[in-house]
Amino acid sequence: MDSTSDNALMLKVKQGDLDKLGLLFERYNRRLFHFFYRLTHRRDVSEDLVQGVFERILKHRNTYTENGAFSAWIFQIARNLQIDHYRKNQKYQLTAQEVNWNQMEGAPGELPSMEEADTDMALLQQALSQLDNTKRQTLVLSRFEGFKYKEIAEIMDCSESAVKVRVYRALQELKVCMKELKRKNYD
Amino acid sequence: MIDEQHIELVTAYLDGSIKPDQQAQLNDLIDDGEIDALQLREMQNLYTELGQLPAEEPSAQMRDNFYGMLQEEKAKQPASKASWLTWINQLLTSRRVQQAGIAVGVFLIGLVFGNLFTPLQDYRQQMDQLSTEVSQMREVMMMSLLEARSPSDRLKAVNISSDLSSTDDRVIYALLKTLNNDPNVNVRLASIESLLRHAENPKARQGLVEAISRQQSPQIQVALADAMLALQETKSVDELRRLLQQQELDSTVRDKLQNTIAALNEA
Repeated sequence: MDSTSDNALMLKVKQGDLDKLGLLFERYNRRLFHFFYRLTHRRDVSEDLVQGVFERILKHRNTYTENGAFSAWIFQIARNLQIDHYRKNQKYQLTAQEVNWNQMEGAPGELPSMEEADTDMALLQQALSQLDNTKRQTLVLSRFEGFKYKEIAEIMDCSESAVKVRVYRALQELKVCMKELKRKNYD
Repeated sequence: MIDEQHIELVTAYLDGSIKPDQQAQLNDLIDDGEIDALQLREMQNLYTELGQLPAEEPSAQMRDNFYGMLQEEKAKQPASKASWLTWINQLLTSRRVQQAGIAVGVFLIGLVFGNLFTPLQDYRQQMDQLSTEVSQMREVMMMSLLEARSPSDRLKAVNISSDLSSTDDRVIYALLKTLNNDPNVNVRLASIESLLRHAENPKARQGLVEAISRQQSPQIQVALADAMLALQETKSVDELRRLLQQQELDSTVRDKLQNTIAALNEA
């Protein structure tokens, strides 16, 4: 096994060489942040969740086995952490209608003054946030993080077919939602 | 809406993992109107647009927080085996500790030699010195006792000479003088035994040989003949023959001397 592979580094962390976790952090912190950010739209929450992932790795490092890809393992932790966060804060979650997209971090200004392409992106972002958490996670893992359906199935602990169905249905819902949002935007 | 029974083909098409036979099958379905090409294109556009959504970047604070947590976690491991080993390793590789170790080692070696070997050497020196002093005292005592009037004192003096481990020529001369001049037979016999103990000294052997012809006592003559036989001293043959020529020689002594001469000649 390559001594600098993710698995090799994690095994060293497991053996007590905690400095190797720094290398893994450098490799994964941006991907994890993007994953959380696309699901929460909150920088502070996303950064806390990234920190939470590495805290869990440290806490449970002795249970790590080199079965499967490290990337799938770390995103499995990230997904579970985001689900916990989602459940804890569900009652405080704003509905899609309540979100002030103009003031959201990363939202490119007010919708009426934006270019059409920018408007579409903002609407797409809004539509994405209206999906249920599982479909949103599936789409983010597939489209943004570049995981194959088989890898997503491992991360989400389900069958590959179930992942494909989720992707398909999420896109169908997105399409419907986008049409609705566009109609409202033109009104 | 595209029928869900075609999900396998559609999702493979969307993420670009569609195989040639699947692509052909998808084309057939589009041609047959089973799948709406427009709807498929809309899904693909949506999927592509998703990948173009802008992404935020994490702040530097996130990195600081992580490394702060990592340092805390490392600090929690002071009692771990690895940390102990590291500490011991650092201790052993420290130049100051190595120098201190060498100094302590030299000190201990000095202590061992100082406490064990030096006293032993002193003790041995003292014993040797004492032994020498005792020998000298015995020599002096022997010399003075040989001059005594009492035969028992002179006998004691000869016995003392037998106990001397190393004798100088003075002792040999004193014993030979006793052998040749002492009036007491027992003292002269004792001096022969004592001289035999110092037979490694050539002067003692030569003195014994020369004493043969000077002796008048049959006991001394027989004892000297036995001594010559024990020493296998062939040089004594002439002296023994000279003794044989004496007319008044005891017949037993004569036989003894003849046998001794014969034995020495065979040697």
